[in-house]
Amino acid sequence: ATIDVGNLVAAEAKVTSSGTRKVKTLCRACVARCAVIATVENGRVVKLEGNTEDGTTHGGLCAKGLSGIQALYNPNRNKYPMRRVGERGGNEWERITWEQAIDEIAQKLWESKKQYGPESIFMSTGGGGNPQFWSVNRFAAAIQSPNTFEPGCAQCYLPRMVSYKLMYGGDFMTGNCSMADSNCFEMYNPEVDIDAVVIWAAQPAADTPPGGGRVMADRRAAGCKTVVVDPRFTVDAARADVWLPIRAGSDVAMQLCWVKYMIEKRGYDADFCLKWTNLPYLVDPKTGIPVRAVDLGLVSKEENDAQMAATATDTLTGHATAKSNDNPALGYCGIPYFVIWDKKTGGPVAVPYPKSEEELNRFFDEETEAELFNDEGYTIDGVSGYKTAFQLTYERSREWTLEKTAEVTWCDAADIEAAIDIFCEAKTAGIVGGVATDQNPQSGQASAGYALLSLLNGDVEKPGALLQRFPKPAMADELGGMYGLVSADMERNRLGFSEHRGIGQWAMSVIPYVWDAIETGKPYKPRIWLERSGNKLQNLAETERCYNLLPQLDLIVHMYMYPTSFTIEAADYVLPILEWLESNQPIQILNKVFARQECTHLFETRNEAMIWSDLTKRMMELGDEDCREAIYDTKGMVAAAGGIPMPLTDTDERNAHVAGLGMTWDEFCDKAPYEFCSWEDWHTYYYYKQTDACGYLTGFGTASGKCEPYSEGYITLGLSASPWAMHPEVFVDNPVENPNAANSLVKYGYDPLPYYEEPEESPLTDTEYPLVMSNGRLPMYHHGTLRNVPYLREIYPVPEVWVYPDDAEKYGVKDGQWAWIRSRRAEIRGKVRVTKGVRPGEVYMERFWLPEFLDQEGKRDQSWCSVTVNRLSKSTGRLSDVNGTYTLRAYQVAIAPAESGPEGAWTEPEDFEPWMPQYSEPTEVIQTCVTL
Amino acid sequence: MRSGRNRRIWPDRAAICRKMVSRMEIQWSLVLFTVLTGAGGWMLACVAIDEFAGKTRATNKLAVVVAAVVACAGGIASVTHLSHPEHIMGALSHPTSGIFVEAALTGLMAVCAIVYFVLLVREASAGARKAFAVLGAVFGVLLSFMAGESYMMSSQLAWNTPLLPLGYAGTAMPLGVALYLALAAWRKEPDTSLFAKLLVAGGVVAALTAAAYGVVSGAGADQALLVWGLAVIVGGAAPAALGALAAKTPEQVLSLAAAAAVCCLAGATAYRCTMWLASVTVNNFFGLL
Amino acid sequence: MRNAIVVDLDRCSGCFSCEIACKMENGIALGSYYNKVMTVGPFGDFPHIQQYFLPVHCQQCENAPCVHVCPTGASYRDPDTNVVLVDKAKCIGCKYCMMACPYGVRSWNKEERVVEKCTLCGHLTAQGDLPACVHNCPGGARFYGDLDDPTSDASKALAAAEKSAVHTLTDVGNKPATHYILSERYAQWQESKDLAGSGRYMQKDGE
Ligand SMILES: Nc1nc2c(c(=O)[nH]1)N[C@H]1C(S)=C(S)[C@@H](COP(=O)(O)OP(=O)(O)OC[C@H]3O[C@@H](n4cnc5c(=O)[nH]c(N)nc54)[C@H](O)[C@@H]3O)O[C@H]1N2
Ligand SMILES: Nc1nc2c(c(=O)[nH]1)N[C@H]1C(S)=C(S)[C@@H](COP(=O)(O)OP(=O)(O)OC[C@H]3O[C@@H](n4cnc5c(=O)[nH]c(N)nc54)[C@H](O)[C@@H]3O)O[C@H]1N2
Ligand code: SF4
Ligand code: SF4
Ligand code: SF4
Ligand code: SF4
Ligand code: SF4
Ligand SMILES: [Mo]
Repeated sequence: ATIDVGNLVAAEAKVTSSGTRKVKTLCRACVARCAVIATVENGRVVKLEGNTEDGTTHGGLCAKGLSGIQALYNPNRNKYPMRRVGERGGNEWERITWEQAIDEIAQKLWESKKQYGPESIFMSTGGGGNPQFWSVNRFAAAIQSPNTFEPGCAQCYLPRMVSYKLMYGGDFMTGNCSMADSNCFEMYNPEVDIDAVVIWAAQPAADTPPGGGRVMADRRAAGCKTVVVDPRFTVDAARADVWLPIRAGSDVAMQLCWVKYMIEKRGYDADFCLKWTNLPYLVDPKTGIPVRAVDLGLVSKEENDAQMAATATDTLTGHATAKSNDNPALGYCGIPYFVIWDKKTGGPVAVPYPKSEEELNRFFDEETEAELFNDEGYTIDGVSGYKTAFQLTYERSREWTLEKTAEVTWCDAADIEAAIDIFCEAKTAGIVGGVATDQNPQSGQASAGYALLSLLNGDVEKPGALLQRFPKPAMADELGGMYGLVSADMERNRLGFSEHRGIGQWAMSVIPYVWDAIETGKPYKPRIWLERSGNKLQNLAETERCYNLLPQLDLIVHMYMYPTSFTIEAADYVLPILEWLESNQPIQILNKVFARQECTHLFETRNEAMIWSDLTKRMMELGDEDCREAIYDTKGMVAAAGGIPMPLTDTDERNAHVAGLGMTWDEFCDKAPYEFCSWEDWHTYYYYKQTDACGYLTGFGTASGKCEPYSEGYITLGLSASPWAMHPEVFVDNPVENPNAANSLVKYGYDPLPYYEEPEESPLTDTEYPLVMSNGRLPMYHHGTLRNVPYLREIYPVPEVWVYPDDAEKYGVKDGQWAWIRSRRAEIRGKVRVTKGVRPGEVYMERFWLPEFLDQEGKRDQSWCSVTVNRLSKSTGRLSDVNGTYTLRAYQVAIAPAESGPEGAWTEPEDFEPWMPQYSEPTEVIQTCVTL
Repeated sequence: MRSGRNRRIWPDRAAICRKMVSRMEIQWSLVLFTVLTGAGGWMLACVAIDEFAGKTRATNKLAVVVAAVVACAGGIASVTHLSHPEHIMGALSHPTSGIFVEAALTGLMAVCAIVYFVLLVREASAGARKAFAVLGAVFGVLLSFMAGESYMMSSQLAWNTPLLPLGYAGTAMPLGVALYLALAAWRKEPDTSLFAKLLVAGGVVAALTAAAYGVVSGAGADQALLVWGLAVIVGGAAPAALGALAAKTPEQVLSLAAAAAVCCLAGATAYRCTMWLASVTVNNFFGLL
Repeated sequence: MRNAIVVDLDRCSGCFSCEIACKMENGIALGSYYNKVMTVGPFGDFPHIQQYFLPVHCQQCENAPCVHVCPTGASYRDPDTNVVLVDKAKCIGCKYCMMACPYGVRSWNKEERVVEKCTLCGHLTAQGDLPACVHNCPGGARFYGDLDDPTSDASKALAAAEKSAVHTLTDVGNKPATHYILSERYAQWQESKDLAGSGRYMQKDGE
């Protein structure tokens, strides 16, 4: 048999149901989650519409969501487990049973683990639209494999989650600037004003049309001013008060310019910065870490310890926890006294952590007068060079005058000034920082830059601020990673972790390190790849590199909803998984929990969590004791770390999600959407001003209990991999060196302040490849998905490459014609759109692949070779120091006319007819096929 | 009667070239319909003229039959482009539509032709004969005009000018005359000079009306060959010249008239094709026409 | 009664949802549309350029040319709702209505060989529901209702807009009832007759 458009065996009806019902469920065609009402007729989903109960979408549903039916009933869905019978790259398969599939794969995993160790097995997952994100980490923990990776992660969201967690110290999942990742709840509160929003490297109108897109329209209509920083004239740019058409990759220069301007023109929130950030604190000239008062003898050890102990016992605050009280490098525990330079006394003064606002105000307003800036610095006990964190921040920004910034970022100086003014003049402003700045080696700096700007502006936990800690429901949308089972060996052997410790936040590996290991066998050779997402040959950088190492792998398993280039080129087994209309998951939307509920079930597709469970169970049966532990938790390590062991059945799994709500899954579904908190109570502002259990103000989850625009957390991360290493002792002995040490007090650890580095491939010096390449979301596709949905492909059949008119003229490419786009890595084709919508000197393309080639004999590789922009991107050379990010955007390309597009690509609406839905009867859900 | 006549938007060249690039297809059945009914109509006009001039009496019986047959063929051609001819009777339900007017005029013209024919055969009174000949001619000529008038739509920037139906009538005129002249020559009428001169006039009218529409619609620049080469020169100037020759060389009238008819057929057809290709709608967002 | 859709282009993000909602609701063939989202621009001098999106569908002309030219009465105005519709059973497929529609927003149904177009989702509105494209619009940019009834969503949206921000497609006497709201602070409205382009991208004259 072949996996192709017509596909395999006819549907086998196992369930007949009748009547029409409306099911309240949730879309998951992208990383957002919009409430949907599905009309189900005799077991067939016949209509989808937005659910007006969703307070973020108000009933809107985007093109991708509405296409759910064409995705669900797509004729080329993966229907049954399949085993390859021919060569990789071909399309010969045989159908096998689930029992066979689980057994054969588990056997191979077990063999490999016995022979080569768990490092021989690695997993990958998908960034978006994947409701089982952490189940891969669960499985990794179960079999003790150190390596899981994801094409997003270091390239998506993780950098911003890292910086905001370390600098703002709010909730790990929701306390950051990514609206596309269902954050910035306050946007959706019509009762509060937000005076200005800076949309930086993001396009809410395309990345979440019904949520972020709609709310931006609401906000603008309500008078909110907007600034958009983007090389393209996006939908939001077209509505912005100021659009800064920045050169891709130069964002940190722009951020530092904003910092300088804010400080010099006093455009920051002085009161917040003084009382609730670490900016006034003196920094140790030797380590770059804010100095502890006890080390200068400004408070006694007893006094200091007393405060540390008291502030440490609190569980509400989210203060980072640590292994040791003695070694600051191992993390922190409790809040010590810090030090300011007091103008009144002309010397250093210890800063107590406040028990009340009165105390805090009295200290800063009456008792002391903290000096914030002083170029000379201070000498204490004969040691010179103490400076305030504020002074150091200012010094870092100083070179970025409007003029220099305009030159480097290719923006207009007056426009930059106007943009900063909008940001500073607003009573309440927000920064919506997008993914573009996560996709080049400056990810650690740019994401710190966002946090720094927000904190300087004091946009924290006040009404209208985007950084908030609102109550969370007592349920788990995912079951978590069983981190109690993560061993020191796993962390030691996790590829790239020791070098790029930000990646530890998601317990993942740095992708180019995985490639290196496969290519060189060092430090060991990964041999088996379990991949469970879409088309890795589209979404990973420098596709060829990944493709070329496939022959080195003994076994590759692909779990997905339909075949992709990866299936054809790589997979030995294909396991069919659920479309969102077949799946179950609880999801928080504002103050309610909604249920994603299965509306139907087709063929032998399965909930992926159960596939991992089945593999774990089978490996246990084969003798893997690690797997036994993952299921039975006999040592209680899973539970000790707050985890839930591998569920044995689908029902167990579902119930576990909502157990915290005191309901079974079925009970929950009846109640959903379930309001877990009233609208009023949910909006708890000024979380940090609450008094915690020990009588101190709650503060923020950082070393100082304050926001840390000068990020001590970055330094500590580099010293010990805290707070994310389960075993920091593994890392303490080899702290990372700061690549920016020449310009910093910090020699070891990551730089606490953003610094700008010109991209390795830069338009300022590159004459061979003169144009900057960048990407950005399209509203009708999600990553590599939906390219086989006829209604969507007809809108946007082939990838466009946007070229500014002058550049088009210069390089001889014409609107509507095909062009070759070349980088130092590869060449692909795209259809030219000549437009002023992309800035001069830059071209834009979005990821694409062409599923129609999968069953064109002799041309299958064209599905990814022909038009996939990631063939051009870069996985070698400089990576982000903090996160290991490679270069997906902001590298150099050249463009030239092409005679034609890839022959065999489908371009006309009627071409997509073979993919129109083929309805089939619902089938029974397969719960588990390995029963213990 | 129809909407939007009050505001006329003349297309400009730039708009024509830059509009959504999706050319309307030439509707051949409608081209044939208007050419053939136009030819029939103008043949009837010649018959009516002769009823008064009395130079080619012997030709009229044949001419009226040929005119009716040609017009019928046109009518049949028009139905072939309908996808649901079974619903054609519905067309009678909407008397303001262009199709209704065309169908009605075709019918009236045919009736007059038949009555005229019967009167001729029965050698009825000259007064009645003349009356029906004139009526038929009026309907026929009007039809040749109205067939073009149907396309005057406010949405169609390049069609919405009275020059369009003038051209429809104008290009049909020499065709009808040439056919009549050829029949007269075939019947060996002794004096065909009147119709030869009429052919000259017809050629000139065709050339002028086609040129005028060609210029105003922008088609003259866009499709120079069709407009200037075929519609104006082959369909207008050439028959005019052949008519002039025919007036001077009575012995060669048959071949000259036949040649002129062929030229006119080509010219009238080209003119109508021009119209389809020149279509510029206010907008054609779906690009489906 | 003038039932119509009002589209607030200040809010429209060109997301194609209305196009897909319509196709799903009405099961429209590939290559055919009742509703299509166009991009207008960007135009102007970089970087001070402008752009907006223009979703187009039947504009419910008060003086509907498509009805006037239809020989069979297949294109008609519904006596109860005043909505311009096509009775496919009467259509002879002569396409005159397609030629007569100033905006080219009628579709040829290849399979049935008849003309079709936006029905204003009469099957939904008859039951008190909103048209599919309106209900699902992620931008909250579409409003449906009777323009003669000041309490309808459509009337309210128009009433709330500045006068200078209310536009229609170029009116050649057909009086489109569909209105678009576009404020000058975002973009200069372009007469639709001055727009040209290919596919979904349209430019104003001279760009
Ligand atoms: N050049 C370039 N490269 C990029 C990017 C870029 O902008 N430019 N973006 C990067 C970013 S931000 C990201 S996040 C990555 C995304 O890259 P990937 O992670 O490779 O993207 P997908 O695999 O398409 O996304 C996850 C898939 O999960 C599927 N899914 C839904 N439910 C399930 C389920 O139950 N189980 C499984 N296994 N899958 C399910 C979804 O349909 C979706 O296709 O790409 C990165 N790569
Ligand atoms: N429709 C759709 N929605 C999605 C996704 C999808 O694939 N499709 N993916 C989901 C996922 S996983 C993610 S991560 C989010 C991402 O959502 P966003 O953060 O909005 O990401 P993009 O649209 O890729 O990029 C944002 C903008 O960055 C601009 N840009 C490119 N390079 C640079 C640069 O160097 N500097 C600056 N300042 N701007 C730059 C691009 O032009 C683009 O407009 O979207 C999510 N939502
Ligand atoms: S934004 Fe669109 S695709 Fe994403 S969840 Fe919402 S409706 Fe679905
Ligand atoms: S659905 Fe709404 S926002 Fe999206 S294109 Fe249509 S009108 Fe615009
Ligand atoms: S927009 Fe076109 S189809 Fe709609 S009423 Fe007007 S003329 Fe008729
Ligand atoms: S195609 Fe159908 S609806 Fe249109 S004018 Fe002809 S008969 Fe009327
Ligand atoms: S009203 Fe209905 S038919 Fe008309 S465009 Fe909207 S969804 Fe389509
Ligand atoms: Mo992402």
